[in-house]
Amino acid sequence: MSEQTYIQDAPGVGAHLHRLEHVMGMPIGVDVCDPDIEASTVDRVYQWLRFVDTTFSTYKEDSEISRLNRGELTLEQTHPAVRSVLRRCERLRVQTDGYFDVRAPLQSSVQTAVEADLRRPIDPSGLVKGWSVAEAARILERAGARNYCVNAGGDARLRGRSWNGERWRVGIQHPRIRDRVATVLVASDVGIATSGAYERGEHIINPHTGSPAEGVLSVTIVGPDVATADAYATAAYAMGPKGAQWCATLTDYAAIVILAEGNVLSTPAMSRYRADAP
Amino acid sequence: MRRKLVASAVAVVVVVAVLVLVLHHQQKIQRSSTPVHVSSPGGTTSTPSGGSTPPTPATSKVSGVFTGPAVEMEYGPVQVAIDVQGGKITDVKAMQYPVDRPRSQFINSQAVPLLRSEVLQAQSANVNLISGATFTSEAFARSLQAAIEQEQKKVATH
Repeated sequence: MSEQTYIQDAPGVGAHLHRLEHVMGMPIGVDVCDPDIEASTVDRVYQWLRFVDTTFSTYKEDSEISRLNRGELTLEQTHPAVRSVLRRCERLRVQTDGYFDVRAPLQSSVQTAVEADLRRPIDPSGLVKGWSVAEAARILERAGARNYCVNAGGDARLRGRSWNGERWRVGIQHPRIRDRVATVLVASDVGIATSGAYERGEHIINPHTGSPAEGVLSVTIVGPDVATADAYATAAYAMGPKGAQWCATLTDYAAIVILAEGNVLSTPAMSRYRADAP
Repeated sequence: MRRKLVASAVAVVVVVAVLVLVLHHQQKIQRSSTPVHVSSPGGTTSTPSGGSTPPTPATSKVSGVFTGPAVEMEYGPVQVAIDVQGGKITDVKAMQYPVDRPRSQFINSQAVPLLRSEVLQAQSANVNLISGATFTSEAFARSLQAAIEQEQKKVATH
């Protein structure tokens, strides 16, 4: 599957640069609605994303993460970005009572607890997607962009106004009915991330049980940093229904938790992002 | 194991692509602020208060069927057509998709109807992006984009 570049000139109002490329196993979109941003800035964003893919992908045999997992690299030999991300993952593991864990077991069936702890591969994907989006946004900011959106498969950093001159409108995917959005949020300076069982057909594992998390269909986190939002969404999903209470303890981050029986729980902080808010 | 299967064989990707493309399309053609439909997971759809403004009439209304090129994927060619009525996509059809191999057949029997409904939904929701994950074939997205671009060219020449 080759990578494709699409560049469109400004549909909508005013100057608007839109690009979509297939990187990190998903389409990643960049929209810049400031008039003076060069296409070369967006080029640098995709160079960055490809670097992240090359370095962190667990699907690529020669990525630093894969080599680290095979023991071909020591932590000291890895790129500073790898060490920085893994340190951050460890802080998040502690902060989430172990529910965000780069060493989460892949499956519980045949492993004893001791065997499982021996040599679990590291998979920092739960932070890397959001983190790469946050860093991509910094590239745009350094170039002067103030109205933009970077969206990696539904994890997004957005700022300012969209191409139609209004605040960004974000549809939250309905977890059961694929042709619906569950709700619409309106925001102008946030990171947003959603975790759900339907995502790419994968399951989020509860690291404490080794089994797929149950009881929750999706968790959406909105707050200042998309990397943190990404990790929190993964952790809260892994917690199951009690994840909603945990979300309510977060400062600076709002959450929508959709439970398996269909109830939608929103933390009070979410009200200011609701499109139907007064 | 399952992850790899899903990731490599299916070529089904999380795609905000289609949604974003369609939304661009909508912005360009319609430039309207249609009411937002907020649906609860129970399936009921409600229109929020203040959302009763009727859509602004489009400045340029195009109608017709626009067919994208057949896009070759590892599991076969995919071709998409859009039906546009008065500047709004009213239907999305997969003109061609692989059914010769069992796996392709399985994938497409599930994916194609789902993609169609996503495109139509994206229009009605009036959003700039979707958070969450939606399954979309990359080929579907590419052919769809080309179909929309054709239609935009027609708008431009009106």
